[in-house]
Amino acid sequence: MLTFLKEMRGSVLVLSLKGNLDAITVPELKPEIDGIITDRRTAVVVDLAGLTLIDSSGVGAIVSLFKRVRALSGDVKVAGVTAQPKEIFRLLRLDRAFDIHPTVEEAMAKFPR
Amino acid sequence: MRLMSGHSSGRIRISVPARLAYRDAVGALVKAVCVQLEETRQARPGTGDEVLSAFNEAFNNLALHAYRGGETGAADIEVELLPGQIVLRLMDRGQGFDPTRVTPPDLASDEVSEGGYGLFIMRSFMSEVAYQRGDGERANVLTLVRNLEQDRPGEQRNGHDDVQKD
Repeated sequence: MLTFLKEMRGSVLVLSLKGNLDAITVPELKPEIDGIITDRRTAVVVDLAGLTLIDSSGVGAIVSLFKRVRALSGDVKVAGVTAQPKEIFRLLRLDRAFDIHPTVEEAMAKFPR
Repeated sequence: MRLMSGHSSGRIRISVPARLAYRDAVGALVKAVCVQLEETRQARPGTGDEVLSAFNEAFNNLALHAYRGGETGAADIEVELLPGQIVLRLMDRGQGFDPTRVTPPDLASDEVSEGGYGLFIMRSFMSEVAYQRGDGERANVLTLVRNLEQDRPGEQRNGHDDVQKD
């Protein structure tokens, strides 16, 4: 099960994910990602503090969001990765692409004001 | 398969429809067996998450590809404990899907890929990954073996892959 919340904090969109992001739940997230691109959000923080499980499909969804926002000359930062998702991020060396921070606040602070 | 503090052995076999909706029910069993191994100190902490991650990728492939284009059949799952090992076997009687033929992602590249990570996750978290294609009588079998003393991925690799073809 996946729950998500989109919230504007100033000019930054914070997308908070809770539960499992995997082959079962990624189709639920795709319209939200499409909406972020349609709205041309160029400063996005993905908050994964509530995420308990991710698989390769979930990773693909976040990478897709990252690439599409980058194509708008924007950036996606990731916050709060713990437990199993943290191990997957480490294994796949996703820090190559993502600016990863312990908290949403720290991630937000990295965007130009 | 009650796990005591010494070496445990035993086998559980479950048959479910090969649909993603059934993955977490079987995954919960896989995780529970691993957590007992952790609690009885037959496996290091983190084993459950790692084996479950590998199992999920394997089941995803089976559910999405094994019966593609036809009527969904069964996924037969075996969880076997051997001395020093946990063995998962995922079996189907569809067209199958050999994950060992998938090109691995280039983790050295600055360009991050959106896909291709499933087999890499399986190989990283398991000691052996082998696929045996079936025929009219025998099922396709994906076997995932985890040596319980396996190090954390990235710290030391002691596994290997073996593809068997008949």
